[in-house]
Amino acid sequence: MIATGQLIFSVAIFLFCFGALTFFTKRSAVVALMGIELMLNGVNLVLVQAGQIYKNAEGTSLVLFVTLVAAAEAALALSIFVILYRKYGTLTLENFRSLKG
Amino acid sequence: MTDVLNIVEAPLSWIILLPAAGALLNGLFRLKSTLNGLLATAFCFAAFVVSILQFLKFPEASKLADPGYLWFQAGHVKAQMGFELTPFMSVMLLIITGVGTLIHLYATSYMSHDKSQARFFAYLNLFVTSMLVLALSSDLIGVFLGWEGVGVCSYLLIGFWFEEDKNARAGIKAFMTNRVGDLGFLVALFVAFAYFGTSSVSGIMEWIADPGRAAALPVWVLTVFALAIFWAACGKSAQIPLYIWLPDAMAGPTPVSALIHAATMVTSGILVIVRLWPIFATQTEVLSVIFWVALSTALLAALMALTQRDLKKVLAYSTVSQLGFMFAALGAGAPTAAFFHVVTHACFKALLFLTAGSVIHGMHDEKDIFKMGGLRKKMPWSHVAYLVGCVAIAGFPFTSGFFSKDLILTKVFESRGVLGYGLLLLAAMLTSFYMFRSYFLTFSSTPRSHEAEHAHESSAMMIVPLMILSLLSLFVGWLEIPHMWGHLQYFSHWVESSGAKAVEGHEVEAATEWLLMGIATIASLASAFFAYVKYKKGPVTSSENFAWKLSFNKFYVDEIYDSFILKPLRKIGTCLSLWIDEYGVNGTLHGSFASYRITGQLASIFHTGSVQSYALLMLLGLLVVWGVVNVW
Repeated sequence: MIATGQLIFSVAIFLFCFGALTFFTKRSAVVALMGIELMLNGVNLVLVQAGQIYKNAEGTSLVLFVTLVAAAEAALALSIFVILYRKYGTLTLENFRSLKG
Repeated sequence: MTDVLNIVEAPLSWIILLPAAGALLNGLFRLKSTLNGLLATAFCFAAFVVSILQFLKFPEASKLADPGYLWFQAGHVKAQMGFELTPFMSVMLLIITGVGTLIHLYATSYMSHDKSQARFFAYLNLFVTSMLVLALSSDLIGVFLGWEGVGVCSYLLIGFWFEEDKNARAGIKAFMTNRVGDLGFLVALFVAFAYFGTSSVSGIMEWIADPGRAAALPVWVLTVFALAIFWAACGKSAQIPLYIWLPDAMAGPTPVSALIHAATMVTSGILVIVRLWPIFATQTEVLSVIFWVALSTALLAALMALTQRDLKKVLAYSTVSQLGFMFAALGAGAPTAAFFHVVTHACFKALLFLTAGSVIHGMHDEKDIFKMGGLRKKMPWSHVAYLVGCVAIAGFPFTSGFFSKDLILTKVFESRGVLGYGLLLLAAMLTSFYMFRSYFLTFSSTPRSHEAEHAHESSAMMIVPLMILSLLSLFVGWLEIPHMWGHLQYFSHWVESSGAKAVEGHEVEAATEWLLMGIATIASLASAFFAYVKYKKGPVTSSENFAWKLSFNKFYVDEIYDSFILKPLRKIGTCLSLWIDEYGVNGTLHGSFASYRITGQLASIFHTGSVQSYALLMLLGLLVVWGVVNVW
């Protein structure tokens, strides 16, 4: 029988790895952003569960802040996408390589 | 500075400053028509007037001096920028400014159609300034400043028409050859600092005059000093082996040839030796070297002059040969005779060059004497002037060349015996022959080309200096008449009061002196007659044998220098530039920045520009950090 805590950690790690995989492999910027959000949620889950284990509100409260910042970040990222799309007509990540050395 | 600018207190500085001001004004302002030339002439003439005023202070004063100011000091090396005038230099002063003024006046007309007159006259005035610094400085460093100054002006003026590659090359050749000679002057300066502790001329003279101090010196010091000065003189005064620049220097405008390459600059070597005469007087071996070098120069240059077709080249080789005469007199221990010939030569050679310029002007820049002929009627004034010049340089009786050359020949006979005398007499005969060859080819017979048929006489502004110089060429010689004619040796009294005493030799008897004079006169008249017989009808082209070719090609000296000195030097230069510069210095630099570039290129492999790969690397990096922290 798997303990609830272990299950929750497993889900968190799965979410993180799935998100990372999505971010590394998907060609669309929007999907990559979704991958990042998944990774973020995995981490959030770990924080909440750790708070539960140690009977401590800090983990849960930190998650509240992270959610807030993530919302702002998502808004920023989406507005950048809009500008990029207007300028280049595409959101495929392979097209943005101006940082190439 | 107030002392320097006060004309009563410091007249010598004014003599130098006047032409310097002329050079500055001409360099800054470009005026209409011939005003630049007149401006330059005016400044030179002003210097001439001040010079005459100084000249008249002799012989009451034995020496005039401007203390000047301390130019620089480094340790015990002091350079004083002061001027002094001895009676003998005062004669040279009159030549530089007087003949200089006449040549400026002539050049004003000669250059009136040139588009860069302002530049020309700025150079010409600057030359006069440098020459005056050379003649008047009381310190060898000041002399060296003037020495280099005339070298630079000579370079600038030879290459004045630098649009033609040939002229620019001639300028560089003159400058480089002079640099080789200047090395000797530097060595002499170092010796003076190291052993005399001073570079002022009077300081060195005091040292030499003091027997105790002079005896304390190592024996070789004075010999090295004298030889180094002579080497420098070889460069400026065109002696073997450094004479090669002078004939090429004829690429410059003719007034330049007259002023620099005949009357003044080329005599600066003799001036310096005469000023330092007390040192040379004790060095009999050095005097022997000077004599034999001078004798070979006089002969060789005379042989080269025999076949030249370019009128100015004939005069150039004649100048080299005459300078050989002057040095021969120095080598015979007779500075007065040498300096007397400097003075007379300045008059008649300036005359000859200016007349040649007038002829070339009238011939529309044709210099080949084979294409001239019959100019006697077309250019009567130039004809008279050239004839006077020829007569004077050949040493016909009672002209200035007669007195000065005779004095040299007598002195050579006294101290060097029959062999030296005979060879120098041969050079004198050749002089007479080649000068009259050029005279007859240019002026007698009938015109041999279209230009000669339409030649025209030059303007009055060019003819007037010619006439004045003609009079000088005829009569300057009377300043120093032979002993047996009376006691009128103004010149030697004048010069010897400056300390340039002849080396004691046995005086020849009056009868011998009469004999020598007779031989020299007959020799020069006979050669002139021979030239008349041979060339009165025009050029003789049938005699192009081996000797003729040797002379016409200047004994291939230029070619020999080229293959034995210049080519190896150029090879060494190429090797150095290839190995040291290209592979050594450049290689190190290229190698070091190549290593940076390669590192950068390796690092830039990871900079793909793709956000995702950056994130992946970040993750890997984190894993590595985690691994290092937790596993170790």
